Order: sequence, then structure tokens, then C-alpha cells
Amino acid sequence: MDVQTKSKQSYLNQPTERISGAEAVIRCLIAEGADTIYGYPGGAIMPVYDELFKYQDQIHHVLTRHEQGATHAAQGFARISGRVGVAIATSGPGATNLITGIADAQIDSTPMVCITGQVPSHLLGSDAFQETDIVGISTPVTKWNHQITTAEEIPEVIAKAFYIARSGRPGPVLIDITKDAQFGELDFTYKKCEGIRSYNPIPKVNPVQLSAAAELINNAKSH
Amino acid sequence: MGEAEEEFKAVVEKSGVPAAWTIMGVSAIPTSHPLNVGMVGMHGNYGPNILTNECDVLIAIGMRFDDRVTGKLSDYATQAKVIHFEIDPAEVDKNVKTDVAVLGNAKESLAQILPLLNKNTHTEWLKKFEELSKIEFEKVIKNDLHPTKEGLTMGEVLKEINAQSKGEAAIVSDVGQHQMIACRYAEFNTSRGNITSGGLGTMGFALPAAIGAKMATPEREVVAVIGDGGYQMTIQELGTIFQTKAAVKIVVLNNDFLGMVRQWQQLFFDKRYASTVMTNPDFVTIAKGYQLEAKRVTKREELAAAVEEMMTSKEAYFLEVCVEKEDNVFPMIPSGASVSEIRLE
Repeated sequence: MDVQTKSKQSYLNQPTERISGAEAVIRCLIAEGADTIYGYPGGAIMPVYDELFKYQDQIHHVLTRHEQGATHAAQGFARISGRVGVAIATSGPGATNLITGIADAQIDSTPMVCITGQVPSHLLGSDAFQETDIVGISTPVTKWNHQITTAEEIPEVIAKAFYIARSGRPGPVLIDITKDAQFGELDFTYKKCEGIRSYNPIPKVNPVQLSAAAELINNAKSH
Repeated sequence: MGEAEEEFKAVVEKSGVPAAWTIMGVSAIPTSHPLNVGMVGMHGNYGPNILTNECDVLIAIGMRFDDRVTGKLSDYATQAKVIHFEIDPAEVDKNVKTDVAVLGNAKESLAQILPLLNKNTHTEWLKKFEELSKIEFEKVIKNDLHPTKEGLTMGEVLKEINAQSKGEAAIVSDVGQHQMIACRYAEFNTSRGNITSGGLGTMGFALPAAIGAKMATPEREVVAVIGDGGYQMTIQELGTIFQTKAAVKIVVLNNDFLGMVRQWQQLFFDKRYASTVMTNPDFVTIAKGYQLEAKRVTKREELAAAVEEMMTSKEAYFLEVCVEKEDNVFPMIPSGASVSEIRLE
């Protein structure tokens, strides 16, 4: 018997819509308030770009001239506004071109979500065209990363991605989505992430620490 | 700073404690605030660096004691009681031993400490900052901002930008000497005004970052200040500006060198300029190829008018300023030295 929280139950009982994984990605971005995203298309991310085209009145995609430019533009966007910057790229060289900007966002604590296309899941590990292990490569320079191989995972993973990117000490998150997950279908409904078990992004302020600090400041020598 | 600017200002004003900033924190408090005593770090201001090693209490807020700020750790604020306001427990006691760590979101912790603080002033202490600032002005700042020699300085370009921006523009800098000059001299009245690659120091950051910044806050003037090296790393993003018509103002401070590395080669490697000489193309022609309004300035008398034209334009604008080729950025804390060993020349 599976015991669910009330919140999860109500989430599961919401009306759903049967859409493609690619469309789900766009709907998630819109739900997270991403009205401007930066990126560069390619084979492994084409289904997402097709949906971007259909939703262009709701979400503005800026074509940069290099994926590195997309990450830095997303960073500039995030730094001036406090919002999460978004950059998308295709697999292989597209994804690896994001790494410098991701590392930059990591060390300067900038909230950013990067979405990369990936080869179809049955080709993973076969040295397919434009295939790289971007999850492996980006692990040391991201706050979190994850590879999605089925359409059903998309809403919850993207919700987590935005939550992790913006919460506590902000940072970059990379989500890698295989092409078959983009073409696949799911019963879509979206719920923002409000917490992750054992992730405590903001420590509670401790009154003992506060008093100790205040005492030091109040008693500092007044040269 | 986690949107804690108002809370921070209130704490500083009530306690009378002088506030210095790292390049990542520069516009959290307006440049003109009487308790803003300047920048710390390798190319920061003289006063805050020297007095870090003389203070009684050091309060760190949302900063991680990066090595460019601390210099030699064994000789950094060892005499002080260190209070560290920090959201990430991993940063506490990572580089600098803390006496009191106040974990949490600075917006909350600063608001909660305010009533516990006594209203205070530290006029004698502040005077020390002012005295050191005067020395720095005579030896460094005067020459940066009000040069008498023929060649243009990077500092005077920032001075003209300030005159037009009046502290409202966001300055997006790339990496190198120009970045240090921009962080030191740009004036800010509004928060989130300084956008630069601090921790990683990624050349090529500024041009695309300026595009993102302008699109996020189109009502705000965004000025990218870039060196001739970093500019060429992501120069293709001029195409993005051309296509989107983002009204970004681009200033390239061209000294035909990879300036910061050249400075280190001059100071520490007997002027062996290995691979730092840049043979540059005609940047104005390239900008015009992307159909951007573009101008080059080589003489002081042309500068003010050109900056005014750039800042009043409602469209993207490219300005190349040819600056003195072998100017150095001072003050400087040599790599591995103590903050007390900061050099003025």
C-alpha cells in the first residue's frame, strides 16, 4: 500500500493533458516564469525548438552565435534581475560549449538552468553522433544535474531544477534530455517544487549567534 | 546579497561601521554613501586593505574570503574578531577562522540584528580610511582619473561614463585591467549595477552578458566595458545584438595588449612580453559590418562628446577608445603577499 501525502495526492488527482515531452519542457519553462531564454538549436534538441516555435508568443528565445554566449547572456539576465537565467543547447559540442559559462555561474553563485538535448536513450554509450556524457562532464561545476530518459520525468525534474537553481545559495543546474524523451508522450500537469527532503537551503537564524555578533560589534574599539 | 540592500544599509548606518566591498558586492551600497570606504582585494583601495589588518572586528556578509581578497591567509585579519554572515555553511571556516558565524539569509539576519545594535559612530576610525584614501588619490587615483600625459587612461573613460550615467547604468565588465578599473571607478546609485566574472574570471563574458542584462531590464542603461582581448573571444555575439536590436552600449578599451598579463610580465618577469602583444583588427569596421553605430576615439578632446553620443543613443552603440599601451593598475597586492603589503606603485 502506497501512502501519499495530501499534497502529492492532490497533485496526482489534477486534470492532465496528453502532450509530448518537448511541449512539456516549454510549458514547464513558462510556468516557472522564464519569458526570455538563450540558446542554439541542433539535432538532439530539435523537438524542443519545434515547440518553442509554436509558443513564441509566450516565450522569447534569443539565438546567440555560440552556446557560450547563451550561458553568459543567461548569467547577465540573472545577475541584473535576480531571476533564473535559462540557456538551451543541443548535444555533444553544443553541450560542452556551455561548460565555461556553467563553471562561471557556479563560482559566482548565479541562478541558471541549462537544458541540453541528448541522443536517443537506446544510443547512449555507443559514441553516437554528437554524443557526450555531459552529466559526467558538468558534475563538478553544477549545483545539480540530471539526465531525463522518459517524458514522464520532465515536469518534476524541471521543477526541481528551478528550485535548486534559485534557492539558498543560487547556482547552475543542467538537465540533459534524450531525444526520445522529447518525442515521447506524458499526461502533463505541473507543480512547482517547494522542497526537497534533506536539502536545507536556508539555515535558520540563531538568536545566540546574533547576540554574540551584536556584542562584538557594540564593544568594538572606537579608535 | 540576497536582496538585503536595505537591511544592510540600516545596519551600517546605525552601527557607524565603515563598509567595504568585493567586486561581487560593489553596488550593494551607493558609491556616494559616507560609510562606503571602497573596494578590498588585489586591486582594491589602499585604506580598506591596510585597515583590514588593524581592525578590531571584521564583519563579512555574503562573502567567501576569496584569495584575491585575502592575500596571504596567515596574515589576514589575524588580530580581528571575525563575524561571518553566510547562507552556505560550507563557507564558514573554509578560509578564515570565524569567531561568530551567523548562518541564514542575510535579509533576515541583518534585520534581526539591527535592534540589538547600539547606535554608534566611529569618526576616528573613519578618519584613518580618509587619510589613506588621500595618499591613494595622490599616488594613483589622480593619474587614473585626471591624467596630464597625452595618452588616454582607462580611468578617464569611466569618469566620462559616470558623468553620463549618474550612477544608474549597469556596468558589465570583462576580465583584466579594464575590469579592475571599472570596478574601482564606476559610480553606482542602484543595486545590481556591477556585472562581471569574478570567481572564474572568464574573458569574453561581458558582451553576451550585457545582452542578457539589457533584455532583463530594458529600462536600465547597460554599458559593457571590455578589453581588446576579451572582446575577441565572444565577438560573434555582435550578431545577436544586430538580430535582436538590444540597445547595448559597448566600450572597448584598446591597448593592443593582454594588459593584465603584460602587467605581471613587466613587474615579475622582467618585461618578457610572451604572447601578450595583440595585433588587432579595425574594430569599428567590424561593428559597422554588424550595422552598429560605431566610433573610435584616440584623443582626449574627442572623448567626452563621444561618450555622450553613445549614452544618449537609443540604439546599440560601439565605442573604441585607444588607451595608453603600458599603463598598470595600482594599488596591487602581489600574489601571495599580505594585504598589508599593498603597493601603490
